[in-house]
Amino acid sequence: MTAHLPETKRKYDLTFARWVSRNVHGGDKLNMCMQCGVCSGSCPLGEQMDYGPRRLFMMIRAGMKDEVMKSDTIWNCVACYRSEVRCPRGVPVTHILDSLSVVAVREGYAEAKNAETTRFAKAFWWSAKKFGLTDERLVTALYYFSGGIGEGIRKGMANQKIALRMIGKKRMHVGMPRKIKRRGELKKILAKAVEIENRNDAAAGEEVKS
Amino acid sequence: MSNGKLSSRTILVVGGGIAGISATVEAAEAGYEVVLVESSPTLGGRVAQLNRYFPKLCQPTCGLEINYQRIKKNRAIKVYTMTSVGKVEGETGNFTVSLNTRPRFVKANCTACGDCAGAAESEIDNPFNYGMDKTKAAYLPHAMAFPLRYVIDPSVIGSPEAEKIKASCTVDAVDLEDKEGSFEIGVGAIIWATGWQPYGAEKITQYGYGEVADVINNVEMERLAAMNGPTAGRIVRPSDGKEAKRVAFIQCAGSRDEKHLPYCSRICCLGSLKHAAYLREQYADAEIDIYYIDIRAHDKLEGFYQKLKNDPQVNFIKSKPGSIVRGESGDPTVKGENTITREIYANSYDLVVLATGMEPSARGEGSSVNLQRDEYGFVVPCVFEPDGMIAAGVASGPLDVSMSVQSATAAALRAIQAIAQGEGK
Amino acid sequence: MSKSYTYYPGCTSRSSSMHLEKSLRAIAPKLGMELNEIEDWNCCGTSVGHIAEGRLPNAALSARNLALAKDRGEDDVVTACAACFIHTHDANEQIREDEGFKADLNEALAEAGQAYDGSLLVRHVCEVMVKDVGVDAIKAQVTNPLTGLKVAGWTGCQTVRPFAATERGGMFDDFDDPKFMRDFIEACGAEAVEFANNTSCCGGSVAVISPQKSLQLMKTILDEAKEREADCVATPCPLCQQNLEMYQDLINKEFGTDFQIPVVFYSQLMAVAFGLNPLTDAALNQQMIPATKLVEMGTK
Repeated sequence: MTAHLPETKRKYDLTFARWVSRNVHGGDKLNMCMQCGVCSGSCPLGEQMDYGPRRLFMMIRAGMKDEVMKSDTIWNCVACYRSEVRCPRGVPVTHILDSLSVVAVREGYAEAKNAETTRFAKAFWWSAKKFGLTDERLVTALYYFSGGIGEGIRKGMANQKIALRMIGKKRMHVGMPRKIKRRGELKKILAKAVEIENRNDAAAGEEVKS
Repeated sequence: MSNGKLSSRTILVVGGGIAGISATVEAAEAGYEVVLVESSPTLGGRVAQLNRYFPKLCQPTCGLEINYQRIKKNRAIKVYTMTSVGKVEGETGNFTVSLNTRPRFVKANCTACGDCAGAAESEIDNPFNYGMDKTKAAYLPHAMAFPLRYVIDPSVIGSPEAEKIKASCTVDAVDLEDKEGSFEIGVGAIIWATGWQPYGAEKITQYGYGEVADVINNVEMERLAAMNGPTAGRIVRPSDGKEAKRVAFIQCAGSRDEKHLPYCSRICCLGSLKHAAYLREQYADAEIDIYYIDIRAHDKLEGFYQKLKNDPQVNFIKSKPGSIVRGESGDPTVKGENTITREIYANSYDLVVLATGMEPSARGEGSSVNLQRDEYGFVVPCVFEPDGMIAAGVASGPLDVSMSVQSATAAALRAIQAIAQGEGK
Repeated sequence: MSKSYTYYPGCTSRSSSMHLEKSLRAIAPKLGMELNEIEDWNCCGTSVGHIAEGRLPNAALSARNLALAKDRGEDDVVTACAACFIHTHDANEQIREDEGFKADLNEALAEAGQAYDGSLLVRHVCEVMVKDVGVDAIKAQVTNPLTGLKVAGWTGCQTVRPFAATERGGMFDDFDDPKFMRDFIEACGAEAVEFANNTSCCGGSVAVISPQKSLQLMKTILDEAKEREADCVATPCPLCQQNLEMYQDLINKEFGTDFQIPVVFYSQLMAVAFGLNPLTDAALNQQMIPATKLVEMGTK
């Protein structure tokens, strides 16, 4: 993955705010934020986030790129959309946090790469790309073992009982993974989409430097 | 246009609140005939429902009383209550307006003795107290009603109770045959002083108004504090009558919110500060939290804010709460983030007051008229061209009482200019 | 009168939420909903797909589904899964609003000889039941009213947020206090208990990766269901159903509680109330925590 975000030279570098505004989906609406606190005050996990969306948004405006990219706020979002629908200024909070997590991974921040969500997402994407479908067993197993064999066995054992009960109720598939028929087509579509994404990202990085 | 066309020198004022009353007396005292129509049974509007004005905390009744005297003394003013505008035809200087009247069932010779209320058995939600208590089906809207005349609610008409009410009147003022009617007048200019209504707090679902006990809005707080209100001025919680000593105010409840009222309603900050003053006056140990985005106390009102800010029992919390829920004790509990400390809080109160904003009155008045309104429904005041359709008071946008009166005076002058223009054609 | 829809079942319909799929298929004909499955549909990408490769590849998953849906004509696309709904609806709306995004996606779709113009409408099946079918028509199908069954209607978050009160989302209910689950429960003749946690999030999307965070959220929901003496919790969301049912043992272990509260889908309530077989049609045989009272009501 290539880093396309401009390097920050000063502690408060406004090119980051500009970049987020232009390139993060919904980021242009950040200018509307009036720091009222409804988002952080409505979040089911608000207490467990280091900053919460409100403060994170202010940090973006202040150009605190590193702190934002390393924040655990973006990884604690449960995607319940409560803050998004309550925001009095129409800021798409969930969408922005979602997009920031993508940016953090692409920029190669260790906190983002090692985030549990990222490891889960990689396992998930592997299944979606390979089969066209989510195989809950394989995704979970792959994710469990993404933290090493020891962690995989430990996590697997802890959930063994649940898995067996799910199988007993025919709610977990046993046997070969289910697949869509035209996997080749899907693969081509996704490969092209990744190519376009990288192309757009590079262009955006150039644009904000100018 | 050549001469020969009669231009009316009469001004019609629609709405009998403080703006409509002010515009009426100003225009009449300048020598013009004025017809004032009001859709409810009494003049006075929202101001009559206030306990005190900010920032001086004086009572609105004295201002109303002076204006009522000015109306009574002036033969150029005709007042029609329970009357609303139907159709408007014509142009500046020469409008024909049809007016529709609802039956009051009580004639002008009523002495307001109250015998009819004594005879009535049915009770209706008391509109004066926003339905927080009941009133008899034969009632005087309030002690400062103008005209000082009873009303009989249509719900009892045709029942034996109505006959009983009629029989109780010693001056034969009850007319059970009273009907809806309509009539036409010719006027040169129309002042729209149709006022406002509190934003429907139940639409802000996360704040629990109507669902969570002891969450009220600011106009209800005004009635709770008023001597002529449902609790005779004792500020107690509606659910159990307990003294409301620990009270939260939620600013911008509906205002400055794209999903509700996108604009600042201008009065709610001072309104809540005033309510805090009521509480501090009534309970020495009251503890008040005001949740705000930013306090908007403009120019001369800043002093009132500073005074309360220095009160250690009035606490300002910079936060727009996320939700209000029923707490474990049954008390309303406010949840959110303190944006200064970043603390996530859940605070319980005896009473939570939503500082709901102002929206233009239901479009009933003038709905059939092609009035120019802005995107929020306020009547656009015409500034550059003389126009016989003039907005006054909150019909034109959120204003406090003193600004409404200024707006009304300006509207009266505009109406006079429009008539002069019409005559010059 | 039957109306035809293009149906997108989503991955969980084949595994963890097979009982939603089965019961929905059982009641659909009675409600005049003809569900025609998208041929060779794929995964929606759910709430994590974008993290792996970015927003565009993730949306490409939905774009392929929508292109295939379009092959079936202009029927509305309907799904019963909250996550499928959000991500497919969202991708569709972004295609409609953002010409550049639409062009990029079509460039990707062209690799497989496909295209999509954004003309379809993606709907949640509950919105279809409220708006197209109507609660009265649901009531009219009830032959076996669930009298005496106390149900906590738990809408969860993603079924109503962020689209239920938007024009394209059907303007069918409120974000914070939606009523449709209550209406469905009452239409079935059951009692809808007060439920303040109606739209509380179970933390489903972080449940696999950080269970400790979601366990507390789920406990709050179960606490209230117990306090309200609900016989079961009913939800429209596959993830909600799975989590709240699956993790009860773990919650009991963690917090020393003794929850054994069945968690069912609205469609299972309806199947029983419509007089269908509680085990095979309503698929109540697939509950991990048996909904005994509901099963008994169906076999009387």
